[in-house]
Amino acid sequence: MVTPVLMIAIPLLAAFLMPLIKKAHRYFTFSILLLNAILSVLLFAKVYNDGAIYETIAGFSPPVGIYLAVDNLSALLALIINLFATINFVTSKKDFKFSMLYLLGVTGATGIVLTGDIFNMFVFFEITAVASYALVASKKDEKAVEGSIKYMILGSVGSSFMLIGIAIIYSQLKSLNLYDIAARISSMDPKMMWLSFSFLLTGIGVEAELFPLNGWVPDAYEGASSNIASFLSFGPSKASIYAIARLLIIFSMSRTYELALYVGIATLLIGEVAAFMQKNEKRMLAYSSIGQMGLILIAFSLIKDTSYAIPAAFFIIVSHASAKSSLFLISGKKGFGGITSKYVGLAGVLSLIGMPPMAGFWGKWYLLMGIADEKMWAVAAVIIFSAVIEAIYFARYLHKNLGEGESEDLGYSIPAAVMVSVSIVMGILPLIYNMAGGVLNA
Amino acid sequence: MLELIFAVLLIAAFATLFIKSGRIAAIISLIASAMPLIAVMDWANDFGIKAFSFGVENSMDFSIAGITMHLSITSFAWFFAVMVFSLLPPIFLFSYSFFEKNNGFFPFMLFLITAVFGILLASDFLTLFFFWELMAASSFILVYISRDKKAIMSYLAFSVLSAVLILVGIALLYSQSGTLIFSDIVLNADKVTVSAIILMVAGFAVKSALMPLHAWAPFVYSKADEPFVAFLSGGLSKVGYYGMFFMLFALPGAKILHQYFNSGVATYLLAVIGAISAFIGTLLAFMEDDLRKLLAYSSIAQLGYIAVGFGIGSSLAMAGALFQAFNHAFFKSVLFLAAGAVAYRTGKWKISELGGVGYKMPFTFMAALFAIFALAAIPITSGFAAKWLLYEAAVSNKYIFITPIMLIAGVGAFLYSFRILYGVFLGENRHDDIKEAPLPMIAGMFLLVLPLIIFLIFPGYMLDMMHSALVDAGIGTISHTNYVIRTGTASYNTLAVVIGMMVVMIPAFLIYVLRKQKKVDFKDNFLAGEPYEFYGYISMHAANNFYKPIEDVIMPYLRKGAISFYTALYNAMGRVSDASRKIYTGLSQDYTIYIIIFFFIIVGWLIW
Repeated sequence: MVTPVLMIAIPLLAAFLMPLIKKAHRYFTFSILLLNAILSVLLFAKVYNDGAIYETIAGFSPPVGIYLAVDNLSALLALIINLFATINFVTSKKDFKFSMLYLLGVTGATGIVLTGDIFNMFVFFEITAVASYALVASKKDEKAVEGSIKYMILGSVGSSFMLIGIAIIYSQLKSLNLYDIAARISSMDPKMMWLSFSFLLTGIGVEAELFPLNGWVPDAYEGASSNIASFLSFGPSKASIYAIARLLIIFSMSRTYELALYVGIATLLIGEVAAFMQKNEKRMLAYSSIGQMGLILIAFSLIKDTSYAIPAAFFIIVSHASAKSSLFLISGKKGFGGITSKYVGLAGVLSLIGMPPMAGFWGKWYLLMGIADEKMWAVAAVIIFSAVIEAIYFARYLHKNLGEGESEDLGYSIPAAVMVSVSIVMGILPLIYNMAGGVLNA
Repeated sequence: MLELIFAVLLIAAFATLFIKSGRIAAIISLIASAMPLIAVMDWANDFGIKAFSFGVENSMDFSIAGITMHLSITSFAWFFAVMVFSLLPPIFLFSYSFFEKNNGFFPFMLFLITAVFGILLASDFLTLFFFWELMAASSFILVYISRDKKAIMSYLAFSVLSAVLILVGIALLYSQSGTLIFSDIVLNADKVTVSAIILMVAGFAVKSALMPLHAWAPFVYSKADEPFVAFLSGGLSKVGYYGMFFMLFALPGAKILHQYFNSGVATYLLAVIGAISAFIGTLLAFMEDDLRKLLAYSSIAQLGYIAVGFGIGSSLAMAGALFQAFNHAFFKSVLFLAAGAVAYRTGKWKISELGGVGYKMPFTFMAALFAIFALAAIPITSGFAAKWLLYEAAVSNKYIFITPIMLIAGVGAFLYSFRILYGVFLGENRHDDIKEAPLPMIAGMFLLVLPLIIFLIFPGYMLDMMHSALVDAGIGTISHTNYVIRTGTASYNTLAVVIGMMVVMIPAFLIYVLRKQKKVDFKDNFLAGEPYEFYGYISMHAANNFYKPIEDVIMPYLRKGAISFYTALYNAMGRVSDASRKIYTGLSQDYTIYIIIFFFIIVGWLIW
């Protein structure tokens, strides 16, 4: 019996048990993460076959009780987060505190995507954010601490915004359940509704790396160790962009979608343009992440209008999570230094710029099909522009890493290869299963 | 059948990924690359002579579980397939000696072939785009092996530009006609708009190195491995032209453009762009000292002629364009391979450092000589027939701008070919210690020369091959027999020309061989009393500053070319990027203020 509760409860419990099992903490953490990944596979299979799961905790029925809601997309996101967390943890060589924080971070990110309750979502945001601040600082040098402090300041500002937004909704509707809110949102005072939306978007936007709320991103990614930068790019950021998608669906007004589209375009342009001349590798990857988050937001902002939006967003998320995480894992030294890193770098870059057989190809395909459906040619022009910019700086990145450098650390490059192969698998699967068929047979 | 070919190509690609030895990888690739060629030749009965109408699918539809990839062969795809896949086995034969170690050339070349096979067989746009991108990705990795910064950056940037242009074009087509399947789009052609056609033609033109989208070509052609460059110039550029052919004539985009502008201005523009490519490419070519860059500019120029034919669009012009495409595929591959063979033995690329290689490598010289004859359109080669058709098409359409430019470019082609002949293969013998290229290299080059000779004598065969392509695309063909091409104004009998040339050449050759010769020392003929040491080694070379007067006249105008434009654009973009990063001040208080400002802006925007 798979229930989504286990995926949150088990790692949370394990995190608090960590001080008791100091010695074997790495094996313990790894097995917990693996268990969670297996659970998420089973959960996805169940959701895929039987439809969405709504589960109430502690017996209270909605709208009073806390409850979890899992549909296809959130199950897939939980799967991605837990799978990559498991692979990424192999590179950890730190003490038990690190493992504990890591488990907490994963719990929080998983919780964000599985929860059906807006206050719970806030709590999970706090859990994953606090764990991430500490994880960024765990490298213990000056830059790591600087990045961590900036992340913490902006993160706390963001979470207070989010809390105010939730408070407004609760004061109006006396409910915290996402579905309940969505059903009754139109009964809110319009000004209050816009106000709460703005607070929530600003609050979550800080974590989701949206422009101009993303000041912490370059510093935190640069300061963090490679595996934590990798964790940040598949964990909290992906969970938060999904939370924004839920927010958009709840409010579901054409103005909010329009706003999300503009924010997405701004984020995409600023991220890609800033990355264009950035010489520091990790900062460049961080700016590029900002650009990709903008692209995902653009995809989500089309949800209401076109059925291509969800597959587009999903494939970009998979492509970005796997490619950027693996690029971060092999970053931080001079040159690729070995054949594994070289192919990981190539595959990652090709996935990000959307070439087959990578997941990024389908992301680009669906996104532009959706944009063509809506006849938004200005957006198409922006995407053409940013794709070329992206190609140029990634080509420079690839060339820069060709030089003779330190030889590669297989402890990092093999997990990175496993991560990037997820993008390849997801790029080939649509050919085998009829995921792309809808376009042809429409 | 198709499943088998794809499977063999992919298995070979994955196998060669793990093989260290270049020799074994070359043999595997050679066998694998023969598969699509055999299949294409097998389809000759369908397309070679008799007409085959577009839209009627062959029995070779193909699908893997789930999504159906509509693959079928059409007559014009078949023509391009013959051209592209005939190049491959000789190139792999050449590579057998060229690569001692497998540096990644073989696996990605096989992925590239798979992709090209898919592009030519695609009969819906998703399949086409998927394989187009696969081609871009695998050819990018082949460029990446060269480790040259400019080549890597320009190739990826232009590949992505081409891909997104095509993708937006496809998205437009889809939103207008509601389908992605070629035959359905052709039925709904009245709904297709001009913007989709222009976008897609521009996207395909990037791969064909048409000016001003050619800026990647000089860097990539001069740095990547020669066998790959031979295929890139010979084969992949034709894939771009296949896309253009599809958009302009099969769809038929040319008619839609004509209706929209109420005149032939758009296609005329394409012809002008092609002619300018031919002209400027030629000028740039004969000033280059790097042999590979010379060949790169020459490629740009020769590919420009094809665009001229596409732009004119009459049956005469199209026959000339396709003929030119076919010839170019072979002679340019031979020339790049010959350059590779010379570099393989001497390690040099600069014309000013080479010289007299032909005395030591006579077979390489022979192959290159024949290719140069074809390139310069000397009447004893098939190159002449192609250019003659194009010139006649331009003249009969009274294109007073294009015709003279093309003629000047044709003479220019002879000028730079002469530099290759004289600067590299003839002239002062500076390389006593080199040997002839290895046998597989020579065999590869001569296999590629073979079609040039066949179609020299029988241009009618070539016109037979393209007959059904031209008929299906609604262009119509020109009347011909095996030896004689008849156009509205003239007829060209190759047999008579060949016999006439023989009558002149054989006695001339005999006189050359049999006369009493006085061997003149090489340094005698131009020194005019100056001491040899006076100018140093390189400045004495006949190829050095060979066209200095012309260079002095035209160089100031060419300096502001496309490449400097892109460089300026890159630098400007860099300044924008540096400025945009000033937003990220690094101060938390600034970022907090951004958050608050953002909040107030969106609240204001939402409420009012």
